[in-house]
Amino acid sequence: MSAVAGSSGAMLRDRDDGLMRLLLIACGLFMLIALLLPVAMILTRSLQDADGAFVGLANYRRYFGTGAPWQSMRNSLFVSGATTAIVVTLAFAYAYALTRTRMRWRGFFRVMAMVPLLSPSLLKAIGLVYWFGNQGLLKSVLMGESVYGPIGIILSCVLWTFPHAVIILMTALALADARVYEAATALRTSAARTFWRITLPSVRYGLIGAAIVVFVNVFTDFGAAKVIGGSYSVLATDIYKEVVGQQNFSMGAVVSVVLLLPALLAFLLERFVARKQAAALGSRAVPLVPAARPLIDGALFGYCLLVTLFILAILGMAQFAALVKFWPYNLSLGFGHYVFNVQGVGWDNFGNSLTLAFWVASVGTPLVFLGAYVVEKPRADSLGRGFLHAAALLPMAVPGLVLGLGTLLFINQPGNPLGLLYGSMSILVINTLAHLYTVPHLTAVTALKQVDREFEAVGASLKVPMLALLRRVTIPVCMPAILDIWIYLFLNAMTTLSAVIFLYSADTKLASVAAIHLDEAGSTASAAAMATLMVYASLAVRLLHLGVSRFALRRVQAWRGGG
Amino acid sequence: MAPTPEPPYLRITSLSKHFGAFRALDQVSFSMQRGEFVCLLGPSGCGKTTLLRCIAGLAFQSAGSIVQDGRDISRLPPSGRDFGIVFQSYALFPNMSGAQNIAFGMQNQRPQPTGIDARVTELMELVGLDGHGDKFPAQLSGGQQQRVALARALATSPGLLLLDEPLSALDAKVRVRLRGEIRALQRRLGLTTIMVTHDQEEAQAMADRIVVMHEGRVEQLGAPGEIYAQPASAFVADFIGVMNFMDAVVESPASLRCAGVVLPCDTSGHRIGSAVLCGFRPEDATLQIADAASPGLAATLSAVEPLGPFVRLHCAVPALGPAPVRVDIRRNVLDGQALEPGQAMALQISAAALRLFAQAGG
Repeated sequence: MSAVAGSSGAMLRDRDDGLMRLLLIACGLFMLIALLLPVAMILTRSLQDADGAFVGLANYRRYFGTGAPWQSMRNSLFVSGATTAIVVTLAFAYAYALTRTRMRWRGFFRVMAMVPLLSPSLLKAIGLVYWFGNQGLLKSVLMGESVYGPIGIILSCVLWTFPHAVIILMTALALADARVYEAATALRTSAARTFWRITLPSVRYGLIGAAIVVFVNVFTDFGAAKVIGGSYSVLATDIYKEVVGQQNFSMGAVVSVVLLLPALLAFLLERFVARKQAAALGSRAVPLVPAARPLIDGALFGYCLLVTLFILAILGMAQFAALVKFWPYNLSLGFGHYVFNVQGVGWDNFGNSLTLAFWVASVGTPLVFLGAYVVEKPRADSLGRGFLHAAALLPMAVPGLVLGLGTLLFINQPGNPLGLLYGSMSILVINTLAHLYTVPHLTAVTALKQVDREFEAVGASLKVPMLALLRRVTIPVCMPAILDIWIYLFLNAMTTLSAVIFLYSADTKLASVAAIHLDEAGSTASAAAMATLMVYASLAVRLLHLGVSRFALRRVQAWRGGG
Repeated sequence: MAPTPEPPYLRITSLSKHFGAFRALDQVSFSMQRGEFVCLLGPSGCGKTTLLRCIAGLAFQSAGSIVQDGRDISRLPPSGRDFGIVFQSYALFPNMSGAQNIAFGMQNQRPQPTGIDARVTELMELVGLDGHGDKFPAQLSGGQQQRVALARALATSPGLLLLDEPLSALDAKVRVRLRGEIRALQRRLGLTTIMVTHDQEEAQAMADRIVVMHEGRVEQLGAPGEIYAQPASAFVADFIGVMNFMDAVVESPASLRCAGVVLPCDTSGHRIGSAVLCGFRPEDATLQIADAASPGLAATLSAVEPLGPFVRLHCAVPALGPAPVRVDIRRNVLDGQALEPGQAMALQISAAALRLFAQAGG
């Protein structure tokens, strides 16, 4: 080999650099098609009239001119604000009981708090209707107020966002440093003062983070408002009415932008807070082992039991209603509501949901993991990596309805070859995956960060191709995270509604959409029946996943327990 | 008789690396012969690790060239170069046993070499790990993990072995034992080796030659004894071992004026009247209890620091300036005398012990 003065110019690339670049381009293309172009479509469409001519801000003037949107916005803000206040308070007490006390049944309560995750938001709304609705068992409790409206929306959203808030707050509370509490005891600080001056401030970022997540979720949710909102208008249902009811896409786009901006703002705030939280995590803390406090432990036990009973009562009622022959006149049980004799609704909708969830999880897991690998492993050029990471975080800020509408507008652009996908299962998979992308991406990045940075360098010195290293080392080491990503995608795809409501066709109608249609058609019990199918399917897959994971991890992770 | 000049195995020429305005490497040049053991030594941030990563192709230099075995490797990706590497973190694959870690590189060679198992057994014996092959890294001690990492790096018979602070995560005892073993192994295999370390004692104990680095530049390059005895700069003198420093002015070709005394000293190479930094090693001076018979500079003992075989005495010597002076004396010289702070002492320094350095910035 000739020894040319080869120091000028860039470093030569090897095969793996090419492969890495290919991965980067593939993931970037997915982000572009599934996320960025649809969102861009919303923005441009909101500036066009029905024929596609540019009209500037005319749509916005017309929209705000009517005065109606101000009402929807006030309603959305009120419902979101009230839910946030209630959920953060309830979830804090619950998470505190789980992490900082010696209360009995902590494992049981932890599982119970996660139960609402398995069911679509609409199921909780239906459960509430049967308890507090016009023919509800406990209608009198509301003292004349109707559950159809803000009360119902808030109650079902509280149930729906409760697990998310508990997870965030448990993480924050688990980070306690025992040394700080020992110092407080040594200084003879009273228990109450310790709580207000040490415990609360130490989880302030967790509280803010939980509040933002709850607020954004409720602000952009559509299922609960649709089922139990009655005539109470919120922004999310406005979009649905504009698009599905009046086929007015430009107006739908305008409302989408109005919905997108606060969500985007909250998202930026959340990222800021998350960074602070991560910084607080870096110290070498001594884990806190809570002491037994019979009085507090007992009180919190009662509280957790109450919350659990409430969750079970609402979900149980939905199941009960799905089995009752004719509420409230014939309370004998049967499977009649599982026959779905409404036009265009059937068991194949449930099958579609399973298919969708399976494909989203199975296509999404490798895509997300490899995308995170490209972002985390410094081989490919940094500009592309920065772009990919930013794009991966964006879905959290884009409400499902907005993404769904954007995708619809995007693929139906004249001349877009992706138009072929309209009405297919593929477009639902792509859209749902883009909608759910952020959390799995962060999971994968976190897992990859814990893998030694020098593996790639060692691999290169041993002349091991990147793919061999991935297959033999990186993937086995990250297997727990990979399995977590799969089940997260599956469960969330199973219950997804807002992102797909504009994109399904007669052949690909999903169970969540079918439940909405059944409810619209007045068959609330059948809607409940359809929703319970989703819960049981999720539960079954979750348990199956647990078994398979345990088996798989025992094989590839033997080294972990080996100490 | 003039030996035939063998071309250097590795030649680094004017290597620079910038991160924005920061110069991590500034015109670094040195070369090494086949079979040589060279240590890159310096405080953290001096550029030694960056230099190692450039040689491996894990970092890309801004300018300069690297030639290995007659081949310009400056622009080659790591996979195109010929080296084995051991990291401070070991970077062992946690999901593979020690033997699997060692075999991994060979299994991926095309065509796959025969007798991988035999080679793994041989390597395990070579690094003193026989019998531990089936254990996962988490089941091995730090020293054993380091041996596996070394065997893995050697498995593909690389032409150049790179060691990035390989011992700094280990206990002191294990560290000393392993450094002897690594050095013996390197000699036996005739392996050209570059090791990065911030531990000057380790560098002196192991290296044929040391490259002392400071702020991205090569401060001095030489054999360990040479660097200790004739440090090229005050930085090197201070970093390798211990040295007492004092400000002085060159008074004549054979004398030096300190704060309150004129010392005899060979000042060749320094202009008369110029300000210099004068230094001497603690073991190159003598300190005795002052009495009428003992000559020397007046000193007041401020602290006694027993350091095993010798005792380090800290004292104030007004004639040499305000900086405290450290003198090492052998333990048995004390001969049971109780030394207390405040004791009046007499300090003697021979002219040969003094080293002169240009004043920084002067």
